[in-house]
Amino acid sequence: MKRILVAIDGSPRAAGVIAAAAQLAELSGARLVLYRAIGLSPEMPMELLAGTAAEVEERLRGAALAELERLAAGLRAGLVERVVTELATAWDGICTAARTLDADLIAIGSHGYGGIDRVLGTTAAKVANRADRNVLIVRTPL
Amino acid sequence: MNTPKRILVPIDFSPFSEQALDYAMTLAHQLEATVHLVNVVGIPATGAPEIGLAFTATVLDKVTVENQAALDRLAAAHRDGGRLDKTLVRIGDPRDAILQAAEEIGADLIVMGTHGRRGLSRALLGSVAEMIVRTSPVPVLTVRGKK
Repeated sequence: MKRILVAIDGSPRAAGVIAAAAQLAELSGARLVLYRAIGLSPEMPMELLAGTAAEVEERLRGAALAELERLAAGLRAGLVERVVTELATAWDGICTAARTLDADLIAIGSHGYGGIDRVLGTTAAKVANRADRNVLIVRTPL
Repeated sequence: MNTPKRILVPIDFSPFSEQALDYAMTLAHQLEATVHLVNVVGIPATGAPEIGLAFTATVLDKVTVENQAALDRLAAAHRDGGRLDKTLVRIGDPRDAILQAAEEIGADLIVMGTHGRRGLSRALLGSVAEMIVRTSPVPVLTVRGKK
């Protein structure tokens, strides 16, 4: 195993997914790519959505990158190969990025990405169903 | 997630589940874990009258014995290295039976194959893997089948 794409959703639950992926990476000699899809959610505070579309995107992207860098800094130096964030529907972005970046494995939490996912875990199930590679689904508390 | 020590691999004797087993064996060596196999004999979903049930029970017994033998043969081919442990055959709903087996052996990881269906069949067939992903209390690693 060479590369694990870790799907992060910006919630505190991400820590459990990163810990599981990091452990597996250490044992198998793989490196991590921390990935976060960004999108608009009705739960976002209004002040985040002020300004032009470009400004909003830049602000969300900046916040997501800062979050990923912070998570990467909490891991052993060199374990994280890169951090990636992009505007995408979570499941689609994750599957596409895993293919583009040639990840051997996708690690994802069972719940996340807001809204209906808290009930059904739809993003994880969709990724497991549609990704053209292996997927580790880590149970994350609601 | 603590380092998995007991890995459960559901086996339906398809090439996909055997690919998942190969992956699980590799992982077990890296994690110093044991691998356990479960095969589930699905109960035919018919509202059969008593005579039908008796017939079904006989068939199920026969299938269970045959599947146990097949599972043991598969296990024997992977015994080298001492990682392969229990082989279980269960009757029932695949999702419930797999999760029950996981609990029974204290599995802390389920490794299972997915069929990699495309298009309509995938949309219609909501796989066992997907149901396990949605409801398993332990981590699940899906192995994408290669044709």
